[in-house]
Amino acid sequence: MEQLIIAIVVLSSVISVIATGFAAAWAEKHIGSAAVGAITEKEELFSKGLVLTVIPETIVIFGLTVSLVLLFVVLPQLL
Amino acid sequence: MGSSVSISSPYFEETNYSYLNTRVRAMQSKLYKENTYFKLLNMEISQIARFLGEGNYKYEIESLSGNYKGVELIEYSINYNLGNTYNKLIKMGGKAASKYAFAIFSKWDIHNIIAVLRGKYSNSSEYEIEKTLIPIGEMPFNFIQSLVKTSTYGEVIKKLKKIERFEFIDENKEIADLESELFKEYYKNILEKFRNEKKSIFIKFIKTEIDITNIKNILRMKRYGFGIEEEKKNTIEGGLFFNVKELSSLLRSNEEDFLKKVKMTPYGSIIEKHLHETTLFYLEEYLEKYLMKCAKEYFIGDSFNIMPVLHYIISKKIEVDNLRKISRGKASNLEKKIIENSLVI
Repeated sequence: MEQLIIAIVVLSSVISVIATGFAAAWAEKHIGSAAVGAITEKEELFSKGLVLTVIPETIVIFGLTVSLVLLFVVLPQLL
Repeated sequence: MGSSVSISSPYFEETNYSYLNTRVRAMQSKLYKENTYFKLLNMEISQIARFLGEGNYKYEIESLSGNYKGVELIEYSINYNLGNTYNKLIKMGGKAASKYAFAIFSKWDIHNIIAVLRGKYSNSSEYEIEKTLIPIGEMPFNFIQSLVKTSTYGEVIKKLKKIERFEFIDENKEIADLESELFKEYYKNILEKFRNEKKSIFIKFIKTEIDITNIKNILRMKRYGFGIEEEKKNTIEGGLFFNVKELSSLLRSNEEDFLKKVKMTPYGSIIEKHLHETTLFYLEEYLEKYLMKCAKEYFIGDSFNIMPVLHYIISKKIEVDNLRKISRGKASNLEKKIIENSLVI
């Protein structure tokens, strides 16, 4: 049973990084192309576009944080 | 300048709506606002040309200023700018956007063909005919230009008949009849092309356009008389509120019944207000204004469909039409109030 819980924790850690990675990529794809579209017509929107494009990075950072918490806080308590 | 592209161009990729719609919205933000038109109304023709040359029409004004001056320069520049802008839209639009854009733009094919036919029929010079052309459409613009260079009216028709969608053209018919047939065919083709999208907003717009065209024709026929032949020629099937049968009953009803039926539609108030004027000019003008306003309202949608592009296509057309009205109005010394009333703002 314990081994199963450990496996679930490790798997959750992996899923949280992969899923948030995909989510961030999907969001960046749309925001990035929208930003490029806007910048093509109005160069002055470059800085705003850049900031908006990197905002979805936070999703993957959350995922990474969850993953690290699982690996370095939750998992040691189970072992 | 302003060469058209054909629908079979190889660069049509899948439409990326995020890119397309944001770019289109950025383009939309560059269109002239209400206060700019009021500013232009207080300017002379040369000042208007300079103003346009410093803004969105810089490229066209600079390229054409060597050959044209005054109103002609403005007219050519705005026409070419419209062509260039629409061609840019088609290139960046991808498959889905191009489908709708071409459906709208093929109306300019009809406009150009009619201009050439009229010009050839009245033996106008190539220069005079070219002045009325707008470099937009589904057909390549150099084909239209080649029609202008064709020597006679008959030869233009022969050339056109080689194209499948214009096979029906009969050179023995009068130009006015050809014109209504071409427009009928245009609407028929669009409704056929989008027959699976009967409830789409785009089709609603096309159907509203058909209604407005029909109502204009009905009003003209009611005022100047008609025969069964005229009725057949001037009514188009597929309107939003009136089909051909209802149009026929509208045409034959007395003024009271006519107004009663028309008032059930959104055009009723416009018709009622201007019906008794000596000329139908303002009534037609206001119906046209209504259509443009409708289009702007219809085509407001979210970022993941074609609506922002259609909204921009209409907004750009409105801008160019407004600039044309201002420059022509100024050139013919029309009162400021009259020009202002004709603007779609």
